[in-house]
Amino acid sequence: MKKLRKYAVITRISLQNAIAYRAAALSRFGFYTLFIYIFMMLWRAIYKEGSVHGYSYEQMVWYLIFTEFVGFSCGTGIFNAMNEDVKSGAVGYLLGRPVHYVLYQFFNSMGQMLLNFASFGLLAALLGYLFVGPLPGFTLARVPAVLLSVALSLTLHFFFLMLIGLSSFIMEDNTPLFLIYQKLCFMLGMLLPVEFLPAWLQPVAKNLPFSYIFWAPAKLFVGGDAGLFWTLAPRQALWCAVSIGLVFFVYGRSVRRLQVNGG
Amino acid sequence: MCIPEFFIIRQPERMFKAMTAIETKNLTKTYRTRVKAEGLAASFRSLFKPVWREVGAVNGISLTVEQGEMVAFIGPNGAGKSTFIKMLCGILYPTGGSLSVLGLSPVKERRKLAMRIGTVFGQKSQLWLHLPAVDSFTLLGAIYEIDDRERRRRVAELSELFELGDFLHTPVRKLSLGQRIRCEVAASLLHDPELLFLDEPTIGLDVVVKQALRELIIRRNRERGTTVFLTSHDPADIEQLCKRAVVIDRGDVVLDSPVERLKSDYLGKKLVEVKFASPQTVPEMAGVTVLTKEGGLTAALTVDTARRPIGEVLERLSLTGSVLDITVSNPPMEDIIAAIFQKKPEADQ
Amino acid sequence: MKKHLKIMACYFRLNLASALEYRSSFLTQAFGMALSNSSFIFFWWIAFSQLGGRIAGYSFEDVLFIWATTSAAFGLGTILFANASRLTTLIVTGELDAFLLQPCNVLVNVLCARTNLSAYGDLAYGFILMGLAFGGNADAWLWFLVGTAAGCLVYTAITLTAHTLSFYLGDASLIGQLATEFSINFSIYPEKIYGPAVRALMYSVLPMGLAIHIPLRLSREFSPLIALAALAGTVLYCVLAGLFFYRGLRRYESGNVMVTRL
Repeated sequence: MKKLRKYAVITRISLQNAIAYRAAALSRFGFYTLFIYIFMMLWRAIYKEGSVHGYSYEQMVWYLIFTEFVGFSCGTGIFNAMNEDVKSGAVGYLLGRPVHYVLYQFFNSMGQMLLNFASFGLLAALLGYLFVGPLPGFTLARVPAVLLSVALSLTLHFFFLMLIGLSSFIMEDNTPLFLIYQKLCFMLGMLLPVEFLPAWLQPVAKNLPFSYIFWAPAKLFVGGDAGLFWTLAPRQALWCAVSIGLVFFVYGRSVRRLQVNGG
Repeated sequence: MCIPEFFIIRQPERMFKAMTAIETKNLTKTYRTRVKAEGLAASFRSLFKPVWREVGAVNGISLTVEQGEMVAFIGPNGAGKSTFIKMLCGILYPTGGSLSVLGLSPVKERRKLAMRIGTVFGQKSQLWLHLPAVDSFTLLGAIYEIDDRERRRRVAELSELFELGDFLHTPVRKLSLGQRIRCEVAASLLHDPELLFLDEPTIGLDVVVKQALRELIIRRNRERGTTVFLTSHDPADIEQLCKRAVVIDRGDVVLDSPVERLKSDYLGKKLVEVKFASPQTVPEMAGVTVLTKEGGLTAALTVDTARRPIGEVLERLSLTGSVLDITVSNPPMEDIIAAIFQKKPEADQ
Repeated sequence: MKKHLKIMACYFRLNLASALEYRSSFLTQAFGMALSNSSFIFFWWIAFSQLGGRIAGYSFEDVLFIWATTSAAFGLGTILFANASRLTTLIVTGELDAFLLQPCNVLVNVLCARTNLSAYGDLAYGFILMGLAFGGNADAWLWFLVGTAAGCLVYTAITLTAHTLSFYLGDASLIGQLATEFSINFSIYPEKIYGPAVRALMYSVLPMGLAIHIPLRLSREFSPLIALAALAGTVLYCVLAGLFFYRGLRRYESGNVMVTRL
């Protein structure tokens, strides 16, 4: 119980901290809106009529609103933060604290994530209604499944970013790794649903973790039925477990090496 | 003004220029600053409807500096020193009054003026951190229109004078602070400026480097007749470099006097701190004020060196036979300025 | 003029030499940029292969052309004039002083003083994409080069103008970022996806249309009138941006800005 309280406090403080950065937040809202606006215009030009691969124009715009919402909720700050900590040697200093470094980072980011989730959620809903009207066929019954899927997505995304951040233990400059990851997410679900990919690429995408970050929850959101949830969510959970496991494993190994060799 | 003979031969054109280096009349500069109240709501309001207020940084300074002079420009932080200097350099546009530097108007002839003035701003660098200083000199050569042959000659000359030697070819980031400052000053002198603005040139330097830098500046003044306009928080800079001191406060000149006089009135004081092995009472001497209580293990005293040489004081102290440690230092500039303000009425007359 | 060309060349050399001091970082950044750009081309490839034909009047080739031109123009702009996007920082912190103390054109001095490593990747990417998409099509290459040169100038002028607002507003870095973001987005999508109001913006306040979409149109069908108008527009915009900067400079406060708290 005490342990839980400790993490709750970390979350609260990071929440307060997050509110302090109002200007930065405002600019992120601006960029989000701009991005959605442009892609709405683009899809409008592309869609002449009907639906493509089962997505109507409205669904397509809502799809993008949703994937971007997930992306902006998580942010990529954790990657830079980990990089900094490893390079500056702060990791060694944090080792002495009575909290696990990985958990500390996770709960420390949780405050910001919750704030982003709420604020970008509002903005996303507002923009969707404003640009294309309500999402066709959406019912409140879908919400629990979508929320659960988003929670899995955010965890998965977050731990992958952490893993890339940890790579600076062994790599001088890990930006290319980050960029590759970011662009894979981008291509395999964030900008376009997996159904749009060439036939040979679809099974590949579905067997990699990247599509489960953006495609899975967005697909459930715009047109998911209950059955789909039971196919997607377990895979998301599986990849979550893999990413978390990898982070703890890599962190443990690196730290042991750090303790043996010095920082 | 006395100009060495060889200087006249080398730089004949300078002889026929106006003899005044700096002349300002009633120079003013006001800033518009945003008034912001505490709190989130107020921040928000000021984002859309800011409230502005005029703040005078320089309030009518009239000052004349002759060529070849070395003038110290003193004042507390925020007195308007840098604003004044930046107007002289053409960085800031004055709000009112008139000014002329080397016979030019900084506002209208910034580029012409920049050719003839040099600046050393203590904490700012004009060298490329990742490249050897000699590369930066090449760029400066292009900017100051010095042709390659002439540039090479001057770099060689400065290199000899400043003992730059090998480290001219070492990336600047790998140099020690002292080496770096020497390169920095050499860079400022590459175009052979007639007027040199030094803003805290010795800040953060150790004693040896400070002294070397001062000597270089003095030499430059003596050999080339370079006018020097200096601000510093180090009394030793002022004492050793300048003949005249101008004190400003709240954007106005409050005192303009020879450094000699300033020295006897304010700069001649030394601060002595002594540590004893056993409790001691400092013997009474004329010109010495004891700041601490009698019979302690430590004592602090100020010595008026005009009335009693510092050597004598140290001798008398060591006669007590139990001195463990002695530190002699200049009183901080802030104290000197405070003293000037206290004595101002008589100093003005 | 000759002096300033010499200064520009000197800055370019020193910037490159500086960058090469950190060779691996230089290469990864350039590579990363090229990779980033490719993912967008992937998007377009999918869009065209799934939906075929033309999107908002542009063929896949057209899109490749505007992408290549934009990438090269931004690359060149930030290789030569990277400091434009740092202008707000220079103004707010008073770093502009150093440039004002030197006897040469302030704009040249400020803009050229820095480079951006990843920009080399952008520039190279533009040329590679052109090579892959158009091979030896001389006409396409001509308009690509024209667009690259014009785009480099217009983009720099836009960035300069946005950051010049810092002289008046105190801190316009956000406006600067938005201007950059808008400029990019006006350049890399077919112009017809935007409504008339936005398109008006593309040819006035943020005239990337002049530098990117007009060359494309001219490569399809040359019209001396349009070419001349676009050229005049580009020059005029750059001149106005310069004048605006010099006007703003009079208000420069050299880092002495104090916010009085009450």
